Amino acid sequence: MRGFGNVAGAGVVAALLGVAGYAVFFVAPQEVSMGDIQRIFYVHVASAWTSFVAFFLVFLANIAYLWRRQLHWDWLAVSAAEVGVAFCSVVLVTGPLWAKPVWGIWWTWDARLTSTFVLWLLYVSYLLLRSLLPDPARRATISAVFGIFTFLDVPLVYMSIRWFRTQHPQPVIAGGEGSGLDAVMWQVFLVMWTALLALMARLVWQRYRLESLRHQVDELSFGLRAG
Amino acid sequence: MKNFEFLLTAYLAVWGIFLVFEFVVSSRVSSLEKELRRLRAELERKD
Repeated sequence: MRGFGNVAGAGVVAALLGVAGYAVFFVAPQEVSMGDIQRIFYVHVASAWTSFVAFFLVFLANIAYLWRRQLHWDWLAVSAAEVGVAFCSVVLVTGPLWAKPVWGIWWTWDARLTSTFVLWLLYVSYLLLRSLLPDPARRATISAVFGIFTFLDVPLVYMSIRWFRTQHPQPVIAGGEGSGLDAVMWQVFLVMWTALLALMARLVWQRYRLESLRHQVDELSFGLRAG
Repeated sequence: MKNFEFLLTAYLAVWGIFLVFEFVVSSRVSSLEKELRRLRAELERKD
């Protein structure tokens, strides 16, 4: 039954990604000034928002662990952190691929790009820190405290283009007066974001299962050695 | 299509990152499941 659920889940996510890909290339209208390169926007911004959701999950799981001291909250935190780093990597790869033809440069150290890069570094550090701590309870406690502080960069990334003058474009979604997105572009964006959220949920679930299996293997190995 | 190579590279990189992630996690899950079965069998033999 678990095998069927796994295949069905993968099928649903693949179908959603297929629909989103079709919508990006064949439904979304061409942007007037940038042309087709603007189509990177759909996966770039949707991945950024999805990484924020994943990092918020890490934050909630970290708080839940410190409150309840149950290891499964730690497993959820590390699972969501790894998936969040994958989505944040997508943001850091697709951004320069859009910037080069539009700005003429791959990268600039403005507030949005720098704070996003720092966010990625912080969560990579969070994962590295965990690998240095062998004791599960100690690892969970120290990384939960680190993870809660790490989340403080997420609102900074989000607000950076509102608080500072940046090379990065000003917000087109929820950017206030003068901002906005064509209705069809907005719908295509929502389809892509839904598909990426489904992908995130699947990856977090799989990664959580890995953590749970690792725990079972450790417990059985310990039992065999002790007995 | 202007700048098609950038657009194509971006979307290929996206699916590449997720496919690698999925592949790595799935193969680690399979090897842990195998290890778990082995340990359970060993435990049963001991009992």
